[in-house]
Amino acid sequence: MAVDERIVTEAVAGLELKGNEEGLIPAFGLYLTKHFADYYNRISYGLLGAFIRELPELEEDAIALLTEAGHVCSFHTFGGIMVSVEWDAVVMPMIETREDWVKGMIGVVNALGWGRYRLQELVPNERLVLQMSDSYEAAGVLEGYGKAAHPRCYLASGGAAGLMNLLYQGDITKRPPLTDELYHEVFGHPRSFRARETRCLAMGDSHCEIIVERQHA
Amino acid sequence: MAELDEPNPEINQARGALCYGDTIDVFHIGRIKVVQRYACIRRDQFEWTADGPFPPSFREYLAQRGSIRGSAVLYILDIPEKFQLTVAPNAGRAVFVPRLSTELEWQKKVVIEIVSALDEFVRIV
Repeated sequence: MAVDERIVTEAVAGLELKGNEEGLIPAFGLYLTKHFADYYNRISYGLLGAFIRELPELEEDAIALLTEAGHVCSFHTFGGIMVSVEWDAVVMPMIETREDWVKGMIGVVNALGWGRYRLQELVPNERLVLQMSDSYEAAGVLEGYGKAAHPRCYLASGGAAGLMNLLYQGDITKRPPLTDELYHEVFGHPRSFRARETRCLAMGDSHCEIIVERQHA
Repeated sequence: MAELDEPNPEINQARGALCYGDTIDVFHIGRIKVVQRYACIRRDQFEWTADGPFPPSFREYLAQRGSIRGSAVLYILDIPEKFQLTVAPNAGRAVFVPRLSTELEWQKKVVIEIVSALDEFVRIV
């Protein structure tokens, strides 16, 4: 049986991921929290806006920082999910190929309220194209700042690159410990994956599109 | 020295050097392997695995400790103020996450108690 994203999404949604009396959601081997998207957006785009106003020569560095947050987030969050008890129970029984890990992860993400992800293209070990509808980052930019001149989904882009790096660079299928050393080894590799957003709701596009490919050494 | 004057470096010295996810201990209770990992200064996470699926009798045993939610392939025992146990029975795998309000010694004691029961159920099967 190949991975059916819908079944994964329904199973994760059925877990009733809600905060306990500590305000935490222990799930996927992680401590999750429910967080206001507007709050994250305000911090992210407030930071970027401050750079653009005060230190415009460092705008690209600010974008790199926000994208790096996505790399780190995906390494621990996606990585943690893919070695978790929940993954073993819900997704693993459907996995037949390495590419099914990507489909399974998209099924999980679609239960988390980040927007609607759709796998448009996956060339093994080479290229991933994701479509996102209602990205909370793009929606936050539109709501708070108006139409953007550039794509703005930095966390999602970093996350998409991280997914490919986990699978084809770090081989998450072997369940390596998700250490800082592994992070630097995987993401610091000259041929590791990086993402670029080619369409963005914040720019007036109907949806966001992220393309992930290997860097050239 | 007045209270809260200076932090005492000897307190929690050993645990303070650990990072999230670091393995503290690996031990077996019968046929069950238990991995104890550092979560924070006041709690550890415990993961246990068996060579085969957990028997249905284990779920029935857990149900006596509190209400269980989830499905046949993935269920959760959540006891407020105490712990959460997430179980993938077919994969023979479970994760125990204690609450911060519990003591480290208590956390390990409960794990040993539950895993010992599981080992008995596995032996019967």
